[in-house]
Amino acid sequence: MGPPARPRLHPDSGKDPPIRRFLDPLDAALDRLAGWRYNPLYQSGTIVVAMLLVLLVTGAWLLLFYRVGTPWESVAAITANPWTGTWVRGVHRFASDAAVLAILVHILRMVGQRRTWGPRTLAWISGVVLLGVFLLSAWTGFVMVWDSFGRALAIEGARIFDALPILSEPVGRTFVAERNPPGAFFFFNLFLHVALPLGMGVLLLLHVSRLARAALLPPRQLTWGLMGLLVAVAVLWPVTMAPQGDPFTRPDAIPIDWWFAFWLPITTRLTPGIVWMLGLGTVVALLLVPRMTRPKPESALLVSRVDHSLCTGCIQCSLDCPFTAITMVPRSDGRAEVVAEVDPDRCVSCGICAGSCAPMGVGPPGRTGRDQLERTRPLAAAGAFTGQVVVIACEQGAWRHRAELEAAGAHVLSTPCVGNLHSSVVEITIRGGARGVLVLSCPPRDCHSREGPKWLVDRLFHDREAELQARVDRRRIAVGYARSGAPAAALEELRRFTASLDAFEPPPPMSGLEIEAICEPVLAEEEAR
Amino acid sequence: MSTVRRPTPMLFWLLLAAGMMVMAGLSRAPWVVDAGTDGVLRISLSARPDRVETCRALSAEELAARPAHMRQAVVCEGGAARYQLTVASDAAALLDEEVTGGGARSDRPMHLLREFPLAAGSHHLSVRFVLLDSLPPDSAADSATGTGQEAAERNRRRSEAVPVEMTLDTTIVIAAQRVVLVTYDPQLRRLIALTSPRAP
Repeated sequence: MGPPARPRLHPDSGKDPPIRRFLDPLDAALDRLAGWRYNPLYQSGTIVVAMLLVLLVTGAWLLLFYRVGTPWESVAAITANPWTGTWVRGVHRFASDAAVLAILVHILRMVGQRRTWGPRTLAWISGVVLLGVFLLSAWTGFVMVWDSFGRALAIEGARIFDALPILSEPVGRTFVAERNPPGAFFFFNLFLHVALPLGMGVLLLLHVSRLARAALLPPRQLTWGLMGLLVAVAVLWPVTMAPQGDPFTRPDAIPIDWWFAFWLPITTRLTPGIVWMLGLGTVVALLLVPRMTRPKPESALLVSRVDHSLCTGCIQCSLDCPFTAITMVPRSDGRAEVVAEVDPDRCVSCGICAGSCAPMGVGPPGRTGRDQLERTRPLAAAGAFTGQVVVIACEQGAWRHRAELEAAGAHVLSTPCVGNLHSSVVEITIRGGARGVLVLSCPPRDCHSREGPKWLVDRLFHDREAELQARVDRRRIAVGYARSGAPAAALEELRRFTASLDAFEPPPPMSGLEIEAICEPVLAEEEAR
Repeated sequence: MSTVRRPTPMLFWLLLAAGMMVMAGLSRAPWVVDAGTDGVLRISLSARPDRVETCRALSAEELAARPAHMRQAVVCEGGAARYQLTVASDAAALLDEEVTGGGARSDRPMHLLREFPLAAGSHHLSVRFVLLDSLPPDSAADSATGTGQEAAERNRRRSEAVPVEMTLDTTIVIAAQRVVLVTYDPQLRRLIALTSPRAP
């Protein structure tokens, strides 16, 4: 196929955001170290959820011992208890830090991979709101301890808030009067600290509402490994109590949590008005990311379309769509009961439906199974694959290393996503005389289309519609994982696959390139009806 | 299907543990707020301003013209008084500011929070808080106040108002990183300087 002159999944994918140049090598390094299954960078979103659950459990326990009348003293008592206090508080604290870190990675990944606009706007906006609520909840958590850090946060927060002409009495005076704030303040603060995370649960549901099968937790081993590490760090390096917040002391150094309060040393040097401008500017900039990152109209993604004359109502595309963009609706042409319908507001143009459709009647324009066959068949007929190891590489991943793969002797084709690849293309490549076909996919948890590698493997090896026909020798087909930024991984996959082909005698070549004919009896039968 | 390499979990977990230790370190690293040796003078006031108002008793006809629930014998018109706050340490002026009530109409209690760094050691502190406006003579107001609940209410308001003049002349000893708090005590009805909380 060569460099594709057809609609791409990401029209501007030739100009990656600068963030990606930083993320790709990091991803590749962690893949080499841990394997893609445990690469925590791929799990940034699910790690956040796991950490929130840890916060929920440890927070419920700590709540039993917290006293609004003596906040610092009660937390000090918790911290002094090595069996049920110190490490639980440490895990609570470090889980919140880990959540911030994971959120940061998650944001960078989404921006770097351009997964921020169009149908993903809802997820982005709700994510920004989630972040705000999380930071606010953390603010109340630090204040409730009422150590020197909590007091500094309270004073600075009040100073900024008091710039708004809302309350006639400045809130700030509460924290710098003769005595520390009354229990009523800590009760209200505690209420917020409990209520805000509950609100986050609702926002989280909204955040993943457009995903068909949202992954909410990391793989089990990674989850338990992270929990174990959190406990280990909390035990080996326990959290300590900072001095109690004292209105008559101005400490020269305050132990602060830089993950949450990195802004504190900056804002204390600025006027509240400037702080508000910077804060609101940041929020507005974040909310505008979907608008700023969407492609130009002339290169906008083309959403999937359904060819009603080909759709048999099998519902497979609606099952496979990762974004719940396809529903089955009653049809009006007198044929089988239902027909697929694409919601353009939800379709991200991943093309996975094209790979799921046996009659090749659905998919983004130019990327349906039929379109793929039309481009592949002439190459097969011309003998371009004869005796070759053909690599079909994801444009988001190994396709970027096609020069290295070609130098290693492979004939390289591209696909916008391996989930978009129709199994018939693999068959026709084999029929065209290829020694073998290696599909180089992005790691499953890093698929831009979420579920491309999963469905590809099921279609090629586990008879999921549109399955690779039984007549094709599976030994000559493999799926490998190699991401962008990891040419060595792609070459290693190619080397292993080529070596595996040497182990057996190639079967006699299959003849004929008209494999789509298998769909026609079904259509003919329906039309006759 | 294949993967490039088998995972090396131990090294991975060790690196992850190291990353978590860095993360834990950043969750407690100190923020150096002020490496100096100064103390802080904090002026933190909250007080109700007096009212600058003219009161008059309504005539029987005026009262009769009002609905029953609005028949207030005496009506007062005016606003909250303004005050001048001056603060000096060892004869050096730190603050000279007009203080008015809070709220959009400036008729809510006055709130003020200012902080000044002071070198550690002994200082003579002079704080003056004086009324800027002229209050109507008490007798004039009294003649129109009548009796009963309305008068009691006006008297309560007046008693809660900050005195027309308050002065604090005192010597304070301030230590490095410590705070001297000058505030208004509504029970004592005067300015006080504190270096630690009083017994409740």
